[in-house]
Amino acid sequence: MKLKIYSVLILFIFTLKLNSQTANTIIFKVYKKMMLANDYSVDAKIKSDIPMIKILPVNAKVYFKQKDKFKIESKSIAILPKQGFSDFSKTIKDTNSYFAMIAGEEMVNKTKTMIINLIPKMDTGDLVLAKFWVNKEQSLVYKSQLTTKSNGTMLIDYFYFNTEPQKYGLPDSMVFTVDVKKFKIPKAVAADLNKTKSSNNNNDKPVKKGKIYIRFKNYAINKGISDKVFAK
Amino acid sequence: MILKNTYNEIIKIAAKPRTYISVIAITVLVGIILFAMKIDGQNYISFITASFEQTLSFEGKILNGNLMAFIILQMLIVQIPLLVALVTGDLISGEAAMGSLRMLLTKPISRTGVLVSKYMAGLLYTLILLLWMGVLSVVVGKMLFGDGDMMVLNSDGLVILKYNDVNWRFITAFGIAFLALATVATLSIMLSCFSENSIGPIVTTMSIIILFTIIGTLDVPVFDNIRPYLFTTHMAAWRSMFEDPLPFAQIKQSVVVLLTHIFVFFGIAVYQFNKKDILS
Repeated sequence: MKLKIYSVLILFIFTLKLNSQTANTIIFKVYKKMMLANDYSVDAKIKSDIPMIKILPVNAKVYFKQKDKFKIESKSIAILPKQGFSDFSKTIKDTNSYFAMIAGEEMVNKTKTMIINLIPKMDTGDLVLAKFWVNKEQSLVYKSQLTTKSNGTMLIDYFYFNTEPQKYGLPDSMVFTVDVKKFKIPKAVAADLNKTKSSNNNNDKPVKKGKIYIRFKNYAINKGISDKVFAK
Repeated sequence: MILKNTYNEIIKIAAKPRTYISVIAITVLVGIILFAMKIDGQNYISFITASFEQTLSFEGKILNGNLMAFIILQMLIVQIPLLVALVTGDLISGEAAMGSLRMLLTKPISRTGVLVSKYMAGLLYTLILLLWMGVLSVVVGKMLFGDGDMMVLNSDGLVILKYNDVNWRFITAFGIAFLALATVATLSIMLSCFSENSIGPIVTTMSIIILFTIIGTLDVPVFDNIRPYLFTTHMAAWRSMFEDPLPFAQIKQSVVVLLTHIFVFFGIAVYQFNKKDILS
């Protein structure tokens, strides 16, 4: 009887270990693909659909350089998610800091993906849980969900149309879904003194979802970007 | 004759030291706001955007000349009526107090003509005051802080307007603000026709504005029916020019209410001035 229990336990641990190893391998392949792009610049069109903010689409230029240099240049005011652009590589680069688990399979945009959960080993960091929908064959991330203590949950959908950026794991389009907390400007600041009733009844809901759509065009990958570009 | 008399009235206004109090006050106030924003503007912006910045980040130049002009306008538009009434409330009653009104009316011009001249001079003063504030806030603001997209702060959200979509909005907003200040000027001139001293119309004008503003701000159902007809409710109608999409019906209603007040106040002023018994 004891032997049976031990055998099941060993088998379970072995399966868990195997599962973790497979998940780590998949994640590492994605990471390796992303590392092929030492630097890139790309034109971006940003469309924000955030509750309580009215803003027209904005054109911007995005610059990235390994390891974590990132800059968005825009003449206009652009609203972007606080996290999500270079967080993937940041999250997965230290393989000893998390447990990777395969949590199943799912079709995302007609593509078969594996759901991989990353659970941090330490609970002192900001990250609570990272979830990635990865196509194993292409080593591409199709969807990710980052839950952090400070920023709540952010869902990112990745779309790939062109083959060249795909080689480096770079998407042609991204859709960020973010939690937007209730927003209230004091009347003294807004000077909306005669507005006694709010025209936006949706204000009653404390947390709402906002979407940011980013379309990338004209990738220039590994052409070399000066560090001066990232200096403020 | 009216134009000639208007010119004389303009000279009279220009000769009074109190006329320059308003110009100096606006210059100092705008100067202080611009200085404070140049030093600590980023903190002010962070205070506004703080509730969003947990999940979102704002890229680009938020603190720019357009935002500064908007902040200055909404800060000072509450004080400007006092500065307007300081001069326009004195136009008739000041002369009555000095005893020069009787002599003025011996000129070959009708009483209505005299009132129209004074009114036009008063409106010109109001326009100059507003333009000065516009120059300081928009032009100097842009010189100090540069151009850029404009973030409009409303109590129920943010509207971000493109930099090339802002100038015409400012011009129209100043037009509507002028209409609001012209209402105040007409009210004070009307009250001036009833008074024999300068202080009375100025204080009464401000009291009416404060009273109506409080009624308009109180979210009590009993005032719901009268609130849309108070001119103070529409004094901030210029802000509607910075909404997207433009609330045309709301702007039209505000313009109609303000114009109606101007015609009614001026009509009462003409009636009172024509039947006024001038004893000194």
